[in-house]
Amino acid sequence: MTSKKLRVAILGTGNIGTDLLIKVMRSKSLHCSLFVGRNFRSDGMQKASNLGVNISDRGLDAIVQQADDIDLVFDATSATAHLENWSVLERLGKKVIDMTPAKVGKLCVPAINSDEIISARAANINMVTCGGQASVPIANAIASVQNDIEYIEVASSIASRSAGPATRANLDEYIETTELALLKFTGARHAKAILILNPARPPIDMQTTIYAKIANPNLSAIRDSVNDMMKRIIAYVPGYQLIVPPTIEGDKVTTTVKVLGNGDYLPRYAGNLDIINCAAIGIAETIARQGKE
Amino acid sequence: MLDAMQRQLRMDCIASLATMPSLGGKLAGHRIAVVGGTGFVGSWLAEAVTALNDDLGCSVRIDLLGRSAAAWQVAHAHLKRSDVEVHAVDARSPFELPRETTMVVFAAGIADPRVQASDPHRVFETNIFCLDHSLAAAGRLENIHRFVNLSSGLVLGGDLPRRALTETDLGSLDFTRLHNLYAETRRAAESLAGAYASQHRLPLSTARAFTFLGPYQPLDAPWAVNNFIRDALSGHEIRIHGDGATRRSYLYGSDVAGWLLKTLVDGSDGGAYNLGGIEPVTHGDAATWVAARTTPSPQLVYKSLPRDESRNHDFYSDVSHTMKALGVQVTFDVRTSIERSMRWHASRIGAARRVRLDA
Amino acid sequence: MGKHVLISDPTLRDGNHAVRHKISKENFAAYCAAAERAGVPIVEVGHGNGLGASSMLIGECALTDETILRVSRENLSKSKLSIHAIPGFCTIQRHLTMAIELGVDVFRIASHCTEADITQRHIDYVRSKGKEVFGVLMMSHMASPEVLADEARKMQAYGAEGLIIMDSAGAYLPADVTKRISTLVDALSIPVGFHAHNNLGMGIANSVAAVEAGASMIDGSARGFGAGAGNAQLEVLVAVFQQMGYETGIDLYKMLDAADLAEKQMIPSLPYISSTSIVSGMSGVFSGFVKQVNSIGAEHGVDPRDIFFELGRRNAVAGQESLILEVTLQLAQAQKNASAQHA
Repeated sequence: MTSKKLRVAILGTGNIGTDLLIKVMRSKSLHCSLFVGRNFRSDGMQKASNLGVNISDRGLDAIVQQADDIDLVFDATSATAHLENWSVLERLGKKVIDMTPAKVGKLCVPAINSDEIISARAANINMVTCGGQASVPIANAIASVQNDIEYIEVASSIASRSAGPATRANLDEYIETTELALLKFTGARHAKAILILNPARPPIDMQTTIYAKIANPNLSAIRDSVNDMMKRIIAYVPGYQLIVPPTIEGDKVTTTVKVLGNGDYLPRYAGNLDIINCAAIGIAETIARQGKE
Repeated sequence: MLDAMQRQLRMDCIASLATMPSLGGKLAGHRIAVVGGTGFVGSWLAEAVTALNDDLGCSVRIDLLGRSAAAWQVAHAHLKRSDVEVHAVDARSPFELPRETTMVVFAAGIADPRVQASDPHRVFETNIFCLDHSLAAAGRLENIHRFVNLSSGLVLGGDLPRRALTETDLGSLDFTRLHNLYAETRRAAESLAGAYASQHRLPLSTARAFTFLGPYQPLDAPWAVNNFIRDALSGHEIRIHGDGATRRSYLYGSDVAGWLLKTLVDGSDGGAYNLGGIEPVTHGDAATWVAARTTPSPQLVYKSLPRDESRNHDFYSDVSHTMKALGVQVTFDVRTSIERSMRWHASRIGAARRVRLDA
Repeated sequence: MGKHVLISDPTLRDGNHAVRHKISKENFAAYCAAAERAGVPIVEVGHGNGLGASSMLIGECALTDETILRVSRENLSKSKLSIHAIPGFCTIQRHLTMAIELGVDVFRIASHCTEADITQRHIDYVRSKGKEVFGVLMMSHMASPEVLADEARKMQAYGAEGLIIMDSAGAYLPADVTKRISTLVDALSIPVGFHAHNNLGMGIANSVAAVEAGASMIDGSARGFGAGAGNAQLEVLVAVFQQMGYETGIDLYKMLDAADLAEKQMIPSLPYISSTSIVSGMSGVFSGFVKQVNSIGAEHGVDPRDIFFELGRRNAVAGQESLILEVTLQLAQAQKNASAQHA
């Protein structure tokens, strides 16, 4: 019954928004009340219309008008647009999951801090970045069993074809947001994020390597911790794989993961886009379940 | 079971494909989508695919996307098979390609000058929006190997040299005139495809059509040779407008299909390839050959215009770049192409008796 | 009106690749001073992959970017101080602003040859700060001349004041360079430059071909000090251009002195063309694959040279290390089939 599901609106009908829509429609605890953008001619709008979802090209206004039917908004627009959107949605008292790098709200990596997000009743939840969702859980797992991490580095390779204009224009924001999340969730003294666009054909799957500079690493504790974390991640990102388990190389512990997308709206090699959406759905479903209790 | 004409078309495909023996191996396992696939190009590609699968040991699939899917299936019952699928799609709206598609030919668009005259807005919308949606759909595919935009030699514009035209003979086009709208839409389409390729990393090649000839071309399509054939098969005199000196080159349907398939496998990113014949043929000669193939032989009537040497109406292709870069050849000369078209049209309109069978 | 070539010297940047980014502070100072004395117009310094690239992924630099820039700036006055920067490694806030503050004159913003659009914001930022900025297209053999021209035009549109293509794999022959450079010279209204690598012994010849096709900027390192088989040997370039009647503004004797100094103090082993370099050059493959290709090849009984050629055929790029195993297994299987047939 629809009334038991959390009613969501998706703002932004590009690739991220449309992929989110398909995931929402598959969810047992979420219902899409409204799919909103500014252009009826966009592919996402057509897709949503074909799926029988309410659509509107009046952007934020449409959400304001139907505010009573909406519990939570996914903002899949842009960082600049989010600032405007948030000022309105905050006044309406709507929870927002921010898919952009605006970083107004609480950083959320579901495998790590779902509980904190829920108990804090966070109104604006920021989903960090794709590389962040892929790497921060692992970095956190390592940090949780090692006292003092000097430096964490995360290098992600994504298919050139999966990096659209928004990604390309915002590489710096991507790097800064990922580094912020790494520092927050590991307590490391320094962090570095690297993003490489790989033009190979056929397109490569998203791959991320996490390097941790640790004075005296306890490898078995690290591996156990990472394995536990893997289970939590796979619960909401089915395509997440450990390619190289934590391995000591000189003064660093190296771990490599790969994310294969679900192929809901985008090709499967675009695991980078899929993981951030999976994480967003993950936290939304947790909120939904929480609401029922 | 194929009837005689269908068997002939199959043999024509095999002959064209025989000039590119590496093609079958390179196509194996691929799935080709043709947008605007229920017309001449889509039909010939389907014929070529069935020849590859039945006779040349290949395993390739083709999907034809078009508005008149149901009608096409009725008209092409012999192509109702598992390796040829037809989908009703109006590409003027966003749409999705079959998930396993690895190659796309964009063959949609309105080229009929009569529609351009009466409904130019629709021509513009169709030619541009259909391509836009096709590019977006291709961009969402897992494994797109190549997107071929079937454009037109008319993008070269006017004021052209009086010789075979290469891919780089870019002339000017007076876009303020309505009669140039079709060419202008094809230019804009090439620009759009290029933007998409650059921004979204789509592997794109462009094929520029000159004049095609062969079965599967509607008889009332207003190209000169079709007019001659229609006149002849209706038992009328063949009317030639002008002095008959205007030259065209013609590429036969099975070669069109073969060359497009070769472009799909071997085309280069950003490459443009003329798709046309190698021998320029005057209207007068073409009409003469049509008449020679008709029994009783019709008169040729020249509806003369004042002879204006300064205006160049010739339009024929230099395909040396295409032949060298893709390793393709012309298999069928114009006379044979005309003969095939006449037999095909004649059998469909019950005028088979009018076609002279001996050479 | 004489013919001019603007020399840009990445000895202290590309050379860092050859010593795993361990060039010392003293050597930065000494070589900068020598280059300044010789009148080298542009001196490029830093980690092998540029500003902000010191990392566990690529290799950690012995010195911070800041230290390198300070010591280099102190030793260059007429010569311009330059850096190489790849967006994705280098950010505006953390790296470019610092470099501007420390007095870097020339910023070479680089991307893979098909990804120019990641450089827009960085080029724009540097221009807005009034510094000189060039666009750089790396691994340029992996795109056709027309695609290179399209990508170069993007960088020009973003504000790049010059465009350099790099032969990162050392794959070009002179005719390839002629074609590409002339296409770029036709396409652009900004100067065009060329950065050679010597895998096929073509560093000098390719640089000459570039200039004759209209390039006005050439990169060269002292003794060719650089990644893999090394760069075009700078002091040889200076000599050759002098013989050809091109002005470089560089004093030949002092350039030779600078190269001698580099060899004595900074270069533990002079660059040479190894068998691997030849094969990676011929196949156009990123030479960084060498270790893995060798070890995986040994493990499966496949000649590493065959693996390189196959990787080249598949247009492998850095980051596709997983392809090495796939290719090796296929080659091993093909070998098995071939020998079974002969049995």
